[in-house]
Amino acid sequence: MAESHATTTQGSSRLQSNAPTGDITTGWDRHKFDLKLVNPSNKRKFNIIVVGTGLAGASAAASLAELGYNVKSFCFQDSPRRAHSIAAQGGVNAAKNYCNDGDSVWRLFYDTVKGGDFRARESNVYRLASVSTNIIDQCVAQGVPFQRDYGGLLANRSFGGAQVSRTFYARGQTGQQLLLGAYSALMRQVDLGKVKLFARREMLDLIKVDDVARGIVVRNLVTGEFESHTGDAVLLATGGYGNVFYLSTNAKGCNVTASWRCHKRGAFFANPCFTQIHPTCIPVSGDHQSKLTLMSESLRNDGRVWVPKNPNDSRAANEVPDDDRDYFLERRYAAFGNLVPRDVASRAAKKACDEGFGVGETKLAVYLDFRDTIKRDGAAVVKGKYGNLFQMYAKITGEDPYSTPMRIYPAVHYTMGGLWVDYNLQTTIPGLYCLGEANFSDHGANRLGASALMQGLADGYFVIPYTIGHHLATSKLPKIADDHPEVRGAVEAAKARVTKLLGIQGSRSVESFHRALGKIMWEKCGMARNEVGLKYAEQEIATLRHEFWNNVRVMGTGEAFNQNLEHAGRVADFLEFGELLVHDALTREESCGGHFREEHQTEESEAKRNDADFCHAAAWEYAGGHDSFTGDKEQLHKEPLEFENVHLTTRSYRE
Amino acid sequence: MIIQIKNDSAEKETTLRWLLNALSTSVGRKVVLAITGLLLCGFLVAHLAGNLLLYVGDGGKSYNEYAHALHEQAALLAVAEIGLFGLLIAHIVIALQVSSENRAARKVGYAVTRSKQEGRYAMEGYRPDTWMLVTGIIVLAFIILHLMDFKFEGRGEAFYKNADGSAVTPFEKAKNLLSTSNLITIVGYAVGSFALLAHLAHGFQSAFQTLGINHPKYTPLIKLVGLVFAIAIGVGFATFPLIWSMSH
Amino acid sequence: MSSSRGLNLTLKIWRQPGPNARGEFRTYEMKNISPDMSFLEMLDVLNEQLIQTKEEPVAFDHDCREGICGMCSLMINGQAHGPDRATTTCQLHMRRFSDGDTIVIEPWRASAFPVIRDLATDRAAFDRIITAGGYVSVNTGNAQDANCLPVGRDRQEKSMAAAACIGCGACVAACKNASAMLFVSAKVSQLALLPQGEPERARRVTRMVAQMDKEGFGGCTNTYECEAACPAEVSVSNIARLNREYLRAVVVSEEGV
Repeated sequence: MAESHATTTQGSSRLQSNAPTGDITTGWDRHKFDLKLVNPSNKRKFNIIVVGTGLAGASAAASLAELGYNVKSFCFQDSPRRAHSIAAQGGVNAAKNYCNDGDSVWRLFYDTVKGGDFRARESNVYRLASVSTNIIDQCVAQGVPFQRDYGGLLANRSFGGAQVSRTFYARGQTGQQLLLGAYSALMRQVDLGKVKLFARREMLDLIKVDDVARGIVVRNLVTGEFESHTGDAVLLATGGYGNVFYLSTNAKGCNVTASWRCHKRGAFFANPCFTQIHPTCIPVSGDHQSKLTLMSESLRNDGRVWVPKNPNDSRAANEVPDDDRDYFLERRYAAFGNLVPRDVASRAAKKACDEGFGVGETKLAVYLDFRDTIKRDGAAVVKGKYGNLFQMYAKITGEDPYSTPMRIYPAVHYTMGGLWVDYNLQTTIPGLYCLGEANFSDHGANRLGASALMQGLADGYFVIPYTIGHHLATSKLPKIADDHPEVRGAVEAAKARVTKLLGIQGSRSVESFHRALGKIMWEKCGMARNEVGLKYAEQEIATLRHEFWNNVRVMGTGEAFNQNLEHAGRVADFLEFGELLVHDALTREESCGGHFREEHQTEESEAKRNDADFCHAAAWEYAGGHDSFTGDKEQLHKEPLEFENVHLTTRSYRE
Repeated sequence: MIIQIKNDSAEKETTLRWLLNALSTSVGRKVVLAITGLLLCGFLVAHLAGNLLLYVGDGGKSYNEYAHALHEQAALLAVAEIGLFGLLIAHIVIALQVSSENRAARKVGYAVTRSKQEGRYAMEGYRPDTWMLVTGIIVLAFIILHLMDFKFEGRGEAFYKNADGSAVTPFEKAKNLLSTSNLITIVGYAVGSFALLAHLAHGFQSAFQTLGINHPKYTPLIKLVGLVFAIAIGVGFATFPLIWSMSH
Repeated sequence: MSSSRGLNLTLKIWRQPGPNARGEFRTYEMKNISPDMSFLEMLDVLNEQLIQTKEEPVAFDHDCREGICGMCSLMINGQAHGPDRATTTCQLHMRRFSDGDTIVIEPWRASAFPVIRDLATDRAAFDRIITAGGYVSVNTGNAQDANCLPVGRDRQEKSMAAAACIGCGACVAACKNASAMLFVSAKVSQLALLPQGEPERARRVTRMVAQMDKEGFGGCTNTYECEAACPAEVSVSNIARLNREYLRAVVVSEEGV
């Protein structure tokens, strides 16, 4: 099947990054100057559709409304405040250098490019690092209660392998507080009449007129009605696709549908195989498991990761003496120890378990031990720092982490890939923009801790408000009537899909298909991948998809609140998308960041990049029919990545 | 011309409109409830203090003097009575209004309810906070009975006159009522007093919360004072029917 | 492992096909439920069983399943989010129940939270209350350096404790008056405690209270069941602060005269 995919086009002319050239430190300013502006009094004439109300979506919708645009904001949850950004725990990075420890925009830029294993676009990353400081200012002004020191100034901590303290945080609930800040800005615009809110609406298709994105089709999840909404630009801020693995730290509702529908309408999908596995999650407890819970990796600041040296050690964790413990991260990575990047820590845990050293009933876990820290600092200090995480662990497992080491195992957490966007965050469909986790741009092959919040807010508050004006000012955007053939066509297509799903009336539940897909993805395209497994997975997914469309049982009707139907639509898209993800993983014959191909590793089992052949973003174009999916209609385009400021080196966290 | 007049009257209307608006919200009404409640507490203190003179043991001399002194200030008494009556009416009207709105806020009830508060089982338990309307109504009934007895002399002339037709002294009136009337009066007065206790046990400290006074240093003290106050007032008033009926 | 210690349970679940339809309790028998399951995973199992027998699955709101999004709800045996303190339904695990238990599951009940279907309710009233003033009016780009306004650690921590509200509505569900005071006071408090919230504090509290009333929530009678039910452990001292803010606005503010 892999062979049947269309051949690739190097440096496709369809992929114009529009990134500024020359001195990277002035690039964004020069670029902003070159963008056309929309006259202030004309802004109210433009209607902008924002899908998703997480950090990127809410901040974009609020900021655009503040500028004077009319915004329609959509989310599938019952309130914009529920978006899954809310679950981010650890913090948000910003190059404030408040700690006087040598941080700078340049260092944050450098760390992010290197952390992403040289698969991100330099210009985007630099911009991200440089606006990071504004994000903190903005959030503090909104009333986000970041942690303070006794003098009343902001506190920082080091996080996720960074050697400077640049992470701002609000307890273990930073994502919640940042999201509620963006949400409050959004609701203020609702109050002012500039934003119209459409909750419990799921985007099912993109409306394109003359090849320009002009609207969306949504289903009202309460009434089942289909609605079309047209405007002058469409922003997707619909998050990541981690739920293609079924078990992930994503919320149950997270899905790829909006992105995937746009992909099938012509938006390129970049680097789908770049998925991040987070090392500190609570292990699976049984077949009933419906999702995995992350515990902030800040735990690795003080907790020590180990497994027994003897795989058959049956002693309770506390009874294993130090001599019989293998602190494998500290042993293998002397310089970074327990603080190595996520991909490295995850793979090391997997390796330990694969070799039979795993702990717990399932043997798919390693210990994260606070014994020494509690001894050194006292339980009270540990409680102050990590109390809520310990409580969460105790609630889920029924074990007390103060007295027994926690068991952790990696889980799918974040997806670096997403719709391909240029420097303006515009996809390959003019007028369609993509922000936050849904796009591919800033994290390369691996995201550093506390950078997701930063990127979502950077895109929404400080990038899109500038770049969207250029499209609006330079494009001819005639008004679209509600009965325009393209509008009607898109609505009919969405309706037909729902009707089809309801009409199959097979014997197997949506949930079981989703679990089956997740199992294939996790086993064959998870933390470690190889050609044989990936090829097998491609076929398995195609087979499963075929069965889905012939044998799924979706209950209820389309004219009511029907969660089973919602799920069915999302799984249908995951069944198509999953194949592309696997295929991308197969095509990328190297190991980098979160993408680990077993064929490409060093003698010490570390990822081995192939910069000669793969220093590019892989952007997939779908050239097949919209109503069905054929994997071989995915065509690869490559955006070459150039590293002029951070020189290509092999990441090493050993010394 | 006409427009001008309209403007003037509109302006007059707004002089205190802001206050009425502010006090008519759910929070504002609770504030009125709290303030009227606390002021009525002040009355209770004065009233109980006066009544305690019954126990002085001088054959009612002090009590009678107190009663006469009170009644001599006719103008002041009238103002005080109107004021008290106003407070009471405001307290009752708002309480009824709030209660009916609270009920409307949940038209369909639960099949099962259970408290999550420590040491509390059912949501409608034995604690006084969920019984405010009931205890309030009992207290109101008691007040009506009490006023009938002492102010409007509702049990007929014979009861409030000596054999020679002269009016009884206040002390004798109290003694008559509490020692010679039937069990219903005794029980009514006692139940009224204990209902008042329950009402105050929640109401006193709750009023402070409603007025925004909640502080880790003082709130425990306020709660304690509230409880002591409720017991002192409730038990204090209850002593009259109980002790007098037993002693005679 | 779960088969040896699996639970057999009887569920009594409120079923209501639509907002205006009549609802009723229906009884379901569950066999061999693993104590390691979360409560919602147990409902997932039920729904899979229902689909097998061609009965429509039970609708219930949920999303993050880690206790932070505030989308899950459920009155479990008369307690909002079930028996545990500081816990959402999605964090509740079946080991909390015993073999043979009967579990009654109802939706949040409040006039302001109409039932959409089965156990799912419409909590948009909360959004409308925030819309009325639960924000600081600052446009993107307006902000000065984050460290220009020092905030004492104590205030910041109090503000954070209030800001921790997840907007689930358990306070309303548990309150005998279906009052939203804990929710509203959490937002009012968060911003009242910070210098950023100062310029709008009178307007904020006045408008949010007005909207709360308009939505048809009940009033607060200081029973404090909300605090016990709150999975984010928001304190009722915030309600006092709201009252204080309100009185301050009434007495001091020139707005609305």
